[in-house]
Amino acid sequence: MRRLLVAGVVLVAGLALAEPQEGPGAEHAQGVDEKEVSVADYILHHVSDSNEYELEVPILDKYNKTYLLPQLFVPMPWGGRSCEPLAGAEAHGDHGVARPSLAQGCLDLSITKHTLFMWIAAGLLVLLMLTVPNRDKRQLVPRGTWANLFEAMILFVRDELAIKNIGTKYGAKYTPFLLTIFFFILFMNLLGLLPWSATATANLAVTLGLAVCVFLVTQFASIRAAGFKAYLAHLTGGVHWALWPIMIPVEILGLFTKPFALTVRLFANMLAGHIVIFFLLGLIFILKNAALAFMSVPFAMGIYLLELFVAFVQAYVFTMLSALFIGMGVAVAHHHEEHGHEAHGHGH
Amino acid sequence: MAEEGKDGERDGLSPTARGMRQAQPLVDAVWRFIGGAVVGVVLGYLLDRWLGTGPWLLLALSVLGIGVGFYAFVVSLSKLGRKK
Amino acid sequence: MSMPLVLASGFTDVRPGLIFWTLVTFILVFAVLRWKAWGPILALADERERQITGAIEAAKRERAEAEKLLLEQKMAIADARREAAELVRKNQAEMEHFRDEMKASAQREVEALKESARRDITEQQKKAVAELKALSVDMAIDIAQKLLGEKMDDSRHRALAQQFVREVPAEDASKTPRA
Repeated sequence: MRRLLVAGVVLVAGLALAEPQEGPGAEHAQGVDEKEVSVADYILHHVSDSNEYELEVPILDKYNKTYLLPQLFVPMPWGGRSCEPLAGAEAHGDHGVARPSLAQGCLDLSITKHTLFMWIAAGLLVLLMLTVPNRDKRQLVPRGTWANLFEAMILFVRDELAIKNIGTKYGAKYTPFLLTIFFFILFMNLLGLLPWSATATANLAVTLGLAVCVFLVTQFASIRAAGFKAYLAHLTGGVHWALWPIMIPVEILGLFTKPFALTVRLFANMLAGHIVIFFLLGLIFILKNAALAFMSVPFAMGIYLLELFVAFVQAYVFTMLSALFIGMGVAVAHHHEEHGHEAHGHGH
Repeated sequence: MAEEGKDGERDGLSPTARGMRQAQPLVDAVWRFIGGAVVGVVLGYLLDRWLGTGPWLLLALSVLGIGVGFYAFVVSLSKLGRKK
Repeated sequence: MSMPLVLASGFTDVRPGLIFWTLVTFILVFAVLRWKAWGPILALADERERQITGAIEAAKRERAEAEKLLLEQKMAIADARREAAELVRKNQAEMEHFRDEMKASAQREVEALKESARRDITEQQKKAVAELKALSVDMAIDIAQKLLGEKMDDSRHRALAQQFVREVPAEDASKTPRA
């Protein structure tokens, strides 16, 4: 095990040392300032979404391949512009080239690097979930490590997250949703740790999309637990109707703060780890000192192992907070059940 | 809230979740105070920009927002007090 | 790392298209997994939990029943033992009682026997005394006839001798036959 670790460190260090000759850092080899910018550029380019997928070959840079992913623009009714796919350099470029925006009337549904890896994660998730966990009615006890592991995680989500945060009454109803959230995020996080892949959860749009799902389910849970009338009564804040124009935006804004926290938390956590790893390795090129590899490569490996742990923790935290919000939505509605009528009467 | 504590053994909640639930009305009340001011200022600023009415709507709506926020805060707290 | 670079690099970009794809992908994954994975897996887990709970309940019930049975048996044995002890005790008491009674009746019989023997003896004694008295009268008459040499008037002499014998003190009379 130890020998393997040392071999790994030497190999990675070798790759790191070999890269400056032909790597992206070599393009701007004029000065430390330029180099610093180029390393930062390289890092940000790698963690950012883009319209192309770069297949990088270690050491042999010249065999790198870049694939342009399919583009798709959907014209919106308010835009006068025709939404034709971009061509040539415009299509490749994700820096500085203005793609037609939603305000300009074009919904950009192009497949990006993160979309691609989100789909790979989703495909893997569905494939594994349909094959690994035991679903044989005649054999109630799961057999095998993987089936047991999956079932342990599934039951953990149900018992420790759903029931403990939503309660026994409603917990079971939202377990499938929470399970999907948990495993979807977990698979995207873990997939992002493999070489030649990208982390979809390190993208604000993805975490925002997931948070929108949580938001919708929370409101749905709130309405279902208390009824539409009590839900609306809660939205008015229980003040005189003349003040509603101010109170309703306040309450709606309040509803959005929690999913917003979810969004930023997952995004920042997944992004930060990757940037730290890249930066530790990039330090070698910034300081132009190959010996630094003996320090920064083990550090980067440590961070990588930490990332493995973080992949689970962040999936757990996102799911736990989602469950907590759903539970609070249920409770707030319940809390207002007795006062809903009072607030209503106050309004009239 | 009293009955929540009473059947706390049956609802299966973790202490954290129960605490969050119990704190929720208070958090709501505080948010109404802050949010009222925020919404007043933002609404005033946007309306000013749209109508070009200088700083007047911003001033008026800020004061109104803070006032409404405080009023809602007091109403929420008094409801909480009545409930106990 | 300058700020404009960070912003231009696009990692904070929010592409509406990607939000759309996230929503679509999530809903699809959710639908498929809920239909084909979560439903069956959770149903299986519930079924297993139900069975385990049922088995535990049944085991508890059986154990309680067995304990009840055992208790009943123990009580029955204790009852039997107590009854046996009671029986032995009663038997002993009866035996004792019986023995006492036997003893008492034997005593009584002995007493009665003794009494009757005493009575017999007294009677025999009285009879013997009477016989002796009669014999001594006859002897006295005989002796007297022999002494006088003549035959006395029988009835007159007998009365005289009887008077004589009557004058003999009672104690002497009673002592005489024993000696």
